[in-house]
Amino acid sequence: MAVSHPDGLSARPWVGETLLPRLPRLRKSSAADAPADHWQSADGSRPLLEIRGVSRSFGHVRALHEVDIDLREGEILGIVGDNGAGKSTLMKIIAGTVRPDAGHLTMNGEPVSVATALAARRLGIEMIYQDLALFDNLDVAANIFIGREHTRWLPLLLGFLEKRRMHKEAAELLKRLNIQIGSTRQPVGVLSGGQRQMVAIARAVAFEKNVKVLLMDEPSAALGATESETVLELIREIRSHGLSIVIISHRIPEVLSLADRVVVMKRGERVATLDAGSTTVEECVNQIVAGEAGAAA
Amino acid sequence: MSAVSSQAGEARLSRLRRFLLSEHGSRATLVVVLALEILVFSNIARNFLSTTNFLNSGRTMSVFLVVGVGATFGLISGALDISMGAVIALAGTVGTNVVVAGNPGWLAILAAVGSGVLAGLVNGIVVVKMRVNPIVATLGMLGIARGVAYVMDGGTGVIGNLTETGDVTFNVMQRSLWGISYSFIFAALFAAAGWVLLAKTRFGRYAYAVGGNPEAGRSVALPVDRLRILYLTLSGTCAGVAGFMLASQLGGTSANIAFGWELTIITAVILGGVSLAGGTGSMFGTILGVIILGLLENGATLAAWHTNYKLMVQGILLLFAVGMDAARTGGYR
Repeated sequence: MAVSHPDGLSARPWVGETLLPRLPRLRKSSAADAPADHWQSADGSRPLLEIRGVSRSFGHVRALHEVDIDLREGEILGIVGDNGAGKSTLMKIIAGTVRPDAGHLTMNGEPVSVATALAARRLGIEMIYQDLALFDNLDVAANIFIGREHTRWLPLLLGFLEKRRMHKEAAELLKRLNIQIGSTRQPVGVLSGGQRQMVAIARAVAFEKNVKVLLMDEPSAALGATESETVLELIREIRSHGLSIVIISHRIPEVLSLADRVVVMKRGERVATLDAGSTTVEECVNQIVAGEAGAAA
Repeated sequence: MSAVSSQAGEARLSRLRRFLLSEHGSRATLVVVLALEILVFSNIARNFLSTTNFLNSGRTMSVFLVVGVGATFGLISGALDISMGAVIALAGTVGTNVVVAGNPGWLAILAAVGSGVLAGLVNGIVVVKMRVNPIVATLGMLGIARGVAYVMDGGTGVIGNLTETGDVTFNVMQRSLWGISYSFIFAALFAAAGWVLLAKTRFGRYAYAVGGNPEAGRSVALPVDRLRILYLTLSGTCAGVAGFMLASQLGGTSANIAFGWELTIITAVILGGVSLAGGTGSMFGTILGVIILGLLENGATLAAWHTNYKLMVQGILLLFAVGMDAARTGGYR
């Protein structure tokens, strides 16, 4: 097998040694139940990611205004709100593709800079965009390994693809994540919307050993009922491996069934943070329509 | 989808259609076209089915094959390079001039190939840095390369001078081994290397990725722009090598050589299954496409067809090829 990189800084990921099989499985509301680490405060809920006072304007349009949001370790955080509420801008700021005018982020209590997408990725923040960034003409394994192929004999671009090994490892990965796709040799173009979404998710979480935060923009927007349920199941599965997940969605019942907490955004401000277990669809809608920033929980 | 009996015939038809459009199906179609072609020409052209003739047409085809390798990479990565014929003329003229000026043959070969590399690099940089559509950028290069070739040729053509220089290195493509021309052997090896590069390496995989979805390529942090420059440079390089081969075979060159070859090369490559939109195709298909067009050229000559008829058949083949491509990809909207 390949050389291992105990420092976890290697640019060369090895599927067999990725984080997924090694992390302990955490139950829902794990942040509260997990044994206290050295950095955790007494109540055990020191957030993984803290967003503080983030603002951003595009010309005269105020997309975000002094938003504070916490993301706890191992939780699924839903973000809901009307069109133009600032959800996507917030996501892009976390992912490093949009820079805030004001405010800062901390991770594990340390101030961090996510000035670029690459910087965010180095911190373990991965984003899956709505268009998924898949190659329809390449097969499933090629998509999962794109940019990080296993190669041999020659360096860099001239490296010979170890196709059999990549197919084998891709199949193992899909099996581990309980994704049913059939053959990894199918071109992604023939897959259904749900399967494509799952390939994109698998690719995002599989290889970087240090993925901590997964951002998803409308993961079920284009899917039918059965397919979205399968994708949601996969998102729960991934969370059970210890990742923190932020999800934007328009489907409020879905967010409530999936998320631990729900942040409601309105006109660039956070108007409420609700506990998904105890809130109702009505309350969410009410906050989306009539929420006031000052009253935020 | 439906298996209702009244629709069974229709279902069978659509299955046939799907097969013909699938990768295996299109290859089978190509083999059938090739077989038909051989059948027709062996009946109307004397000497078509002879070893001598195949060895001869093999030598002609070898130049097309080398350019075809480059065009395959270019087109799969999403760049239709139409400057190849002109770059062949440029490279041939440059190489010939370097020999005629009294330099050693290896230097001339280097200069010829180098001019192809340069032309391809410029194509790539214009496409990537100035965001120009590859067809338009290479159209510009077509004019530039042909123009430079005419300037260097001086309107005289330099054919004939080569033998007087006494150089044997540059003329290497005139030699043969056991009756098989060096050209053919070289082109076969070249195409084999091209196949390995396209099908087996990261470089080849990324050609499909960049041609299939450049935006996704940027999202997953592939160096899309640099890759595009590389594929177009490779395309120019192959044209440069082909230019040297042609000049070497002819023992010299004029700026007129390879005039209008763009059509033939593009027809061969698209016939072989490379999509005009990029992202699909194979080296094997290109080889088949080159053989089909090469035999057309050869058979038409032997059957004493007028060039016009050959051009017409070529045009029909091109339409057939792009028609198949459109049916596969959904076509022009």
